[in-house]
Order: sequence, then structure tokens, then C-alpha cells
Amino acid sequence: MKIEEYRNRNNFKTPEGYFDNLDTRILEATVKTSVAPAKKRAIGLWAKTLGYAATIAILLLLGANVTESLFTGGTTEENRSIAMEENGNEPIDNEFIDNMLSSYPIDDYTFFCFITDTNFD
Amino acid sequence: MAQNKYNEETILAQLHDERLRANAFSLVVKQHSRQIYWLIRRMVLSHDDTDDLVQETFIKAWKNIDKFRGDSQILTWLYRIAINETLSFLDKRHNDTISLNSPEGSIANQIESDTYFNGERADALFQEAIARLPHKQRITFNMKYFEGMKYEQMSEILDTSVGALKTSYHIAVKKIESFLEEND
Repeated sequence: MKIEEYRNRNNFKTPEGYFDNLDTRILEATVKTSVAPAKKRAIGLWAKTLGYAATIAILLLLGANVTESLFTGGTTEENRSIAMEENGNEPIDNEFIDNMLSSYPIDDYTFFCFITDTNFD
Repeated sequence: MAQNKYNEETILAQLHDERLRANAFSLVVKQHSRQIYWLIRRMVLSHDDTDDLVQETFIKAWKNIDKFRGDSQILTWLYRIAINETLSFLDKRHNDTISLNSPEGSIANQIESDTYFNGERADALFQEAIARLPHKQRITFNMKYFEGMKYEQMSEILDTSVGALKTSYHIAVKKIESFLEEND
């Protein structure tokens, strides 16, 4: 018999009705085991540096904002807006800060360490 | 209402959604369990061993579902897991029926005596010829010969170049033909 003639001859059998309940048995076995959580991606040195740079930038902007408030003699929204407009700057709102913080890979702990000048490495 | 139509992209998205994961995985099992069964069965020959390995394959897939990012097709991913499980099993098996030291015809005798084999002597000898191939060459032969798989897909599953697979298949065919001629 030539090799090609065996191609469509499947002589292996399975128990009667085996494939009817194979899926059920597999699923019963799988639900007993839990899914392993995917590994958290490690933050690389570049991303870390970027995070720190972003934090410094935010703090400088915040500092400038506070300083200007002091010099303009008040911290009310109206005074601050007037002062900013006079200097050609836009006031920074909380939403902007939140967005900045959430856009960079820096967590609350690292941010806390940074602003309190704690060594976090 | 649960979605029952198999769509690769939809299933992939659902596999990464904890609420939909179980239903999506059941569709994957229904879609691919037979293909996985026959891939393994042609390697290990015994139905009982195959049954265990099929379960192990899907349990491993389930456990690692979060790590599967859809870089390949789901079936390709399952094939890889199944092949790894099967090769580990064959390497560990002490009483390997596929021992190269077995006298010619003895593997065919074992195959013929299996409850779940109903072929003729020639069929058993053909299976013995395949069983005597090195494991990876056997996988290559089975995928090409029985599954009719394209070399490109095999290359992705086995992480081997198309050229190497073509050569491996060609050598496997020659070995099988030679064995069958000697035992005709």
C-alpha cells in the first residue's frame, strides 16, 4: 500500500459518545482552576524619568501659580484669573493637574515621596 | 443573551473581560477540542493518555488566558500548548511504547491490541512507522499529512523555518516508505 492511501484511513476510535461530553468535562475541570493574573509591566528607567520630569513641571507650575497669587494680594478665583491674564498665563485648574498625574506612570506613593523630599529608591 | 456564534475577534475581546470570559472560553473549547484531541492522539496513540493531555492543554490555556494577547490565532496558541504538553509527556513516559529499541512489528502489535484501534495490520505498521520518527519530525509529519496544514502556519506553531519543515517532512516520508517496504 502506498503512503498516500493511508491519509483518509483513521483507525483510531474513541469511546461511544466521547465527544458529546468532552467539552463539558473540560469546562468542569477549568472552572476549578483560577486564571493567573497577567504580570504587571515593570516601569522602565525612561518612563520613571519622564514621570519625575512631569512631576517637577507640575510642581513648578503650581509654585508659579501660588507665588503670583501672593503678589496679586489674594487667592480668590477672580483675583487669580485677573493676575494670570495680565501675565499672559492661563490659570491651572484641578482637572488639568489630575489629568497630568494620571497621564504619567507615577503612583501616589512616589509623588508623596517627591513632594516631601523623601528618598524613595 | 449569550453569544454562540464563533468569531475570533469577539471571542478574544471576551476572553479578556472577566464577566464574559467563561462563556467565551466554552466557545473556544467547543470550537477546537476535537482538533486538539486528534493532534495529541496521533502523537501518543492511547486514548486515555490523549484524554488527560487534552484536559491539561485546556486547563493551561485557561490559567494563562490573561497572558494571551492575540498575537496569533487562538487555535495556533492552543496547538502550541498541546504540543508542549505532548512532548513533555513523551519525554517523561517511562514505558514508552514508541521506544526505538522495540523490535520491528512490536509497536504495531501493541497498537493492534488497543481497544480503540480497529485497523488492519498494514494500518498498524503505518502507525508504527510514524511512531518511530523523532518526536518533532512526527509532529511535522502529522500536521502536514493528516491535518493538511500549510507550512507557514506550521512554522508559526513550531517556531521553525518553512525550509526546515519541508526538509523534515520529506525525510519523514522517506523513512516511513522505507519502513513499510521492509515490513511489507
